[in-house]
Amino acid sequence: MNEEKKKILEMLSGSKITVDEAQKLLGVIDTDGSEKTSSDIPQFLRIEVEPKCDKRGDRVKIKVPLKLLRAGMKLAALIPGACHDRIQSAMNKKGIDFDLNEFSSKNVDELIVALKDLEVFVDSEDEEEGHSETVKIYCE
Amino acid sequence: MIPMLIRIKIDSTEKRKNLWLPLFLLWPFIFLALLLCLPLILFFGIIMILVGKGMIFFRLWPALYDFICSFKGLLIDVKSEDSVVKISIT
Repeated sequence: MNEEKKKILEMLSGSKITVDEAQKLLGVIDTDGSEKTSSDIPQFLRIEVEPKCDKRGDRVKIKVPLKLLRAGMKLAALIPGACHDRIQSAMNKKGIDFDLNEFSSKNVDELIVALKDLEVFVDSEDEEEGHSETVKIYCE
Repeated sequence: MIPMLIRIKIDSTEKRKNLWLPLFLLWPFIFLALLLCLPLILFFGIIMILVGKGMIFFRLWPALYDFICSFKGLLIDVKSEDSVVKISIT
C-alpha cells in the first residue's frame, strides 16, 4: 500500500473525511496509477533462443525496436492504392486474412501497448539429436 | 534520434571481422548532399503535385527519416559453436 492511500485511510479513521470522500480520493489515486502503467509502452521485441542444459547449440538474441513497426506502418501508408490492392490480394492468396486498409496508426499504438503482455516461452527437446533449447519471445 | 553507429562483428574459424561504421560522420555528408539536391527535389515535388502525388512525395521524407531513426537499438546476436555474428545499431 502506498503512502497516499495510507494517509487517506488514516484521515477516514480519524473522521476527518467521510467514506464518500475517501472513496473519491482513492479512485483518483487508482486512475493515476493506471495512467502510469498505460504510458509504460514496450520499446523492444526480444527473441532469445538458448540451449537448455548442455552448451551445445546456437544462441540467438534479437532485439527489435518497436518503433520500427510504427515507422514501417507510416511508410506503408504511403504505398499507392494500386500497390496496396496487389499486396492485399497476395496476402489473401497466402491465407493471411488481414486488411491493410483498416490498419491505422492508432491500431499500431494499441497493438504495441497490447504487446506488453506478450510472452512466449517454448521448451523444446530433440531426443534424436540430443539438443534441447528454450525460445523466449517477449516485449520490454 | 538518428542512429550513430553500426557495429558488425563476425568471428569464425575462417575469418574475423569487427567493423565499426561511424554513421555520425556520414550523416553530415548525406544531409549536405540532400541540401545540394534540394532544388532538384523541389522541382520533382512540383511535378508530383501536378501529377496528383504531391502529398505522398512530401510525406515520404519524414516517414523515411522516422524509419531510419527507428533502427536505433536493433541488436542481432547469433552465437554457434564455432562462430559469432553480432550486428548492433546504436
